[in-house]
Amino acid sequence: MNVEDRLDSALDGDMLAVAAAREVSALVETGDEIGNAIAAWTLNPARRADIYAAALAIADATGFGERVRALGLDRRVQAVAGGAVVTLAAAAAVGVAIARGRRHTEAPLSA
Amino acid sequence: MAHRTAAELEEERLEILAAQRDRAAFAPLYERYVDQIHAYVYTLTHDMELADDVTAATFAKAMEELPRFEWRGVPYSAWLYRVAGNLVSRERRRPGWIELEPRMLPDAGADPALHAEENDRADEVRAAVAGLPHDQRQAILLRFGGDLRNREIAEIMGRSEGAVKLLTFRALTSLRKRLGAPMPAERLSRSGS
Repeated sequence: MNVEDRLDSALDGDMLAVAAAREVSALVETGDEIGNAIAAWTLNPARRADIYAAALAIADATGFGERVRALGLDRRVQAVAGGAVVTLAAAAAVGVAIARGRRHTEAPLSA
Repeated sequence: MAHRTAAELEEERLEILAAQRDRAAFAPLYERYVDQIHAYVYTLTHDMELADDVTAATFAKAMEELPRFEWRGVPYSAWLYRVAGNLVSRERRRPGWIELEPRMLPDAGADPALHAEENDRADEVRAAVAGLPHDQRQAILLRFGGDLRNREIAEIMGRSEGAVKLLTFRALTSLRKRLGAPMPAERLSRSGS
């Protein structure tokens, strides 16, 4: 087994692979630290609502966003994101989303 | 690294089924994955505005495709990462694309808590990841940010599982040299969990 395979087993929790070499153990430790650092990347509720509003604006190009709004999904997300203050922020973000939607018209991002 | 358990995957399958029946039920999926996808796109592009736009486009696509989505026994995030990765690749192919330098700190739009002193090390770690070559960066983000398995990462990246293992090994070796051992407090918190 080469070192990449030993590392892979160790990252999947194989304690024998972790113990087999100090090098592998150190890399697992670094992997844990990276996982923690990435997990700490948390958007604030207003930004989440802003991005969601932008997603709806993009989806509006196919009429999908309007159907989602009719079902109340946008309100549900705003509630999850943090209540009335965020709802107001999201309402303000609609203007931003519309502007972004125009920008996407010029440089489409759809997959 | 903890991959999803069978029970967690089953729970997610049921959430997707619920969202397919009633799109209002998509909200928990958005809430679960928006941070991951945003971190992924930002770390690939080093551009906060583009990260916002690509994240929004990814979830717009997710909502559009929801009725046609077929469960394949892998985390829903694998599908989201693939869409986001394709969008980033498309942006990188545009004429005039400039690879920005990674920044130590996210901009003011991110959670203020991220700026706290105790998160300096996390900022340093994210900046180190952002400074990796593109393929290594992507492999690391999908493995440690998305908790995906090698076969899922390989499919997203269009590489073999062996290539993904090698990219992960090279990236971790490089990061270990740059970052050194984790801070003692980090070690203590992990050993106590």
